[in-house]
Amino acid sequence: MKLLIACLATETNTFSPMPTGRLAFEAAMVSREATKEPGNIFTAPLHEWRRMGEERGWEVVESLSAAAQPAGATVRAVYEAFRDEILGDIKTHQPDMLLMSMHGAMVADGYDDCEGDMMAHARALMGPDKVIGLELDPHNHLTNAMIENATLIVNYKEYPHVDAPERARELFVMAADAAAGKTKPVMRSHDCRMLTIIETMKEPAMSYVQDMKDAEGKDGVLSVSLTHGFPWADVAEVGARTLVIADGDADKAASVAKDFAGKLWDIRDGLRMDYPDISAALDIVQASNHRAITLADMGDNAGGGAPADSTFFLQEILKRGMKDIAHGIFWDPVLVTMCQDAGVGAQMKVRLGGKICAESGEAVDMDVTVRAIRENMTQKLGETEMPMGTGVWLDADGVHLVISSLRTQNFSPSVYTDLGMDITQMKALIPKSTNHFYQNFEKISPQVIHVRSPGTVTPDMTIIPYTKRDGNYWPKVENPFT
Amino acid sequence: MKLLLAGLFNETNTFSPIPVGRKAFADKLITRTPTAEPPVPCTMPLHIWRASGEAKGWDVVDSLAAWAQPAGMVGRAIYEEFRDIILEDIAREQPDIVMLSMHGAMVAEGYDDCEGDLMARARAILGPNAIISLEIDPHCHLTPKILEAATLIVCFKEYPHTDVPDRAHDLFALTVDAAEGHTRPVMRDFDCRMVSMYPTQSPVMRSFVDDMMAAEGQGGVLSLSLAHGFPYGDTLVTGTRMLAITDGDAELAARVAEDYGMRMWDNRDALCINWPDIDGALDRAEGATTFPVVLADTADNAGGGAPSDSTFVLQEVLRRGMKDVAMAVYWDPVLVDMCRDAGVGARMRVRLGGKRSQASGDAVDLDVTVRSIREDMVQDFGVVPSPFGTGVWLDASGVHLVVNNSRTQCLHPSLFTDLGLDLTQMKTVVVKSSNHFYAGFAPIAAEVIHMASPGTLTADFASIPYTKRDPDYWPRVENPFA
Repeated sequence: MKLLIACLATETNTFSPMPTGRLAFEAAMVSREATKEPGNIFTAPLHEWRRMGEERGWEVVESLSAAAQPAGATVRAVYEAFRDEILGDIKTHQPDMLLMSMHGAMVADGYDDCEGDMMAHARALMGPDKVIGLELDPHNHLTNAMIENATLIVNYKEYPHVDAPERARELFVMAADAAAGKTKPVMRSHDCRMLTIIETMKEPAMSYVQDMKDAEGKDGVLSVSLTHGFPWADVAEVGARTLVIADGDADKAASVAKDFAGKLWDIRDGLRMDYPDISAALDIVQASNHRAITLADMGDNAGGGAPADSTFFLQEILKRGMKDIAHGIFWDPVLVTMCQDAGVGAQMKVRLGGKICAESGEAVDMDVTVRAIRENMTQKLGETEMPMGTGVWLDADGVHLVISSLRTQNFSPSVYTDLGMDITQMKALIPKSTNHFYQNFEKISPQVIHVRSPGTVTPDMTIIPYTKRDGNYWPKVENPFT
Repeated sequence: MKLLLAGLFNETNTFSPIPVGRKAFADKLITRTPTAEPPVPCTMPLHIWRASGEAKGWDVVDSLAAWAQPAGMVGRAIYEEFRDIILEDIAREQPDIVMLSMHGAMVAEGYDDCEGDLMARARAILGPNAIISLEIDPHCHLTPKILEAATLIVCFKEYPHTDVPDRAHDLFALTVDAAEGHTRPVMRDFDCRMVSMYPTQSPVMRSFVDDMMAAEGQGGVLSLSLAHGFPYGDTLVTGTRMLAITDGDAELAARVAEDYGMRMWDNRDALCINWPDIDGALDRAEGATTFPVVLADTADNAGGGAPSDSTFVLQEVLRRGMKDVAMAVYWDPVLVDMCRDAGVGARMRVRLGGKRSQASGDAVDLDVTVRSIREDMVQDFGVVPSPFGTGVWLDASGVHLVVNNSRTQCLHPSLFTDLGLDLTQMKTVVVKSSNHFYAGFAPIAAEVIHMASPGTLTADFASIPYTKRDPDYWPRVENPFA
């Protein structure tokens, strides 16, 4: 038995303005001997597959492992080169079985479905009878091209994704059984018409995961996976889907997939993300006697590939004439340099924000005073000092804005105090961050509100500007099945 | 003879939103050994003076040289620091002769006349008998303080400024004659009461410049300079002045200055700037039958302190659906970095322009392909290469855009061709420059059209909101001599 293993993985936020080029992969992983190196989430399965294959006396051939941090679409030539390198190895080695670790939401320029494309090419080379097993992140787009060309697909079940090695072992066993003729896997999926963030360490999702596990290995059901979907991708198949592998019984696979889609629909109220929008959040601040209320500008989180220069909050603050607001961190290295040249105390007309992409919103022109400048700033995430470069405090008549030369989310209120701002006098603190801000801001804030602001990583599933899928999904519509 | 050389060079657009501080100078040049380094336009005279001085066996001492790309007001602290370094060198070295390369329109906070301030202090240190010679840009403010402190002043005669080395040689010869007692230079100026731009390729200016040069050395006239003036500096003396230097004869100097000054006045109708607006210019470009037509976006000239990222022409080019258009140069260091990360061949959605001030217009979102990237580019300008930084060629379906990370105007077609862009295949070439582009682009252009575009450097000289000079100038009033 000859097994070929490979990895090609990145999660693509198609709304992110930062393309993923070769440099992005080289910064994370490009290797032909990933199993000799420490494992990461995407290569951990290859470690398992090599070990299990060798234990059975199989010949294990290792091809490419390439992975990059989540960002915008992968450059076409970069994807094609990685794909063709793996296909070249398949051609050379003629394996009996292919096991691949991929993300499932990789989009390259010209390829909305990199995984489906990869599987189709591999199937064409290997012929209809060889086993192709694919392990995916549940934040994937489950496409027909993947299902038709792979023999077996398994998603991680947990988010946070702590179970990649466990799922790898399951996939290996199923692949070995299929190759030995013990099973005849058949896959069916079902569209849940839902799109949300599903945290599996909390109910009701925790029980849902247990139900999936309980169904496996019984009544001809080999495997049950839930594709959560990756919301920040403009592709036709974006959304939640169930996937069931049955032994030879397509109807069984389809009916179980449908059952699990129904179970997800039934728990939807427990999965609903009930964040206020910007307007409602600022209403709360204006009505409150508290100071230093924290509002998270979730849609513009640099940690999720956003530019950190959106102006949606700022525009609404200025429109309302609110004062004593601290907001950051705006990424603008050019403006930082201009402020350094002008010096502390300078009064300037600046154009802030709205500079990187459409999801940045519109630029805002303001008269500001440069209140402070500090180089080599850091902020704490847990015990780690995270760099933010040079920070600048701009005072726009009581609206206090922090600008940085490095693109980073706002982890800590220390950014404001390190620049000399007295945050106890602020009505509101508005960090650009999804959730990492929480630990540090919660300590100094009487109230913390996550806000479903627009932007590159908006948590508002109803406003993501899809052009390729229809709008018939929950929670955009309350009942997409009517 | 001991000769001290120094250069302090910045053209200050007091209406520009971009402050000039240490970083702006550091981005271009700050050096204590200017003649030991490769020449740039503002240090070229220093190289010539050192060679000429050493050829005469003089002791030649370098002081500071610094220049920054034209922008807004210079910070007080950085100006005073540079000035005091030069003055300390003068006080320590006690030279017989000081030769300075300055711009003539440098304004710092608290100093409307940096050149006059520096030279008056130099004169106070050296006493009345030392020679202080100054080479300046004709886009200067020729103030009484400069005239009083300097022994000899020579402006470049050409615009585009292709004669910086020639004028350096002229000034050196005049300086030698004065130092050796062969001449007793006396300077007088005449206020033309005009504010405008005077490209010297026009027939009227060509003969004016030729006549100035022919008159030099004849009948006691040592040197003639036309200070065009820099319209975008809000100072007491902003405007056009004629300068004559004679050998000991103040009355002759005054008379000759008035003669040439009134000749400018008499030619005002022919000199009047009468450029088409963007629409009119693009109509002509679209109606052309020979190519390429070169259009100058004169108002967004970095060389005059503009941000070099305005989108007014781009928006109209896109609205008309024009193709085979090459445009340069958009200053956007952040976008350059993003393109570097994406790599050549990447297709991306970018937000271009509109990032620095209201004069930048609105940002434009474009789908582009990165066609090429080149580091450490230079442009040809006169005999001295001008640094350009990293250049990126973006192709937006036939609209070709050059972006760079060092703010500079377009000087030469080499900026396109060095990136691999073939201008012979273009119908229209749009350059952000007022007139310096002309020297390089006229030879390859089927036609050259200056546009009266909106932006930082308006060609509507009557409407510039001066607060310091009186409004009694042409073309604001029809006859300021009445």
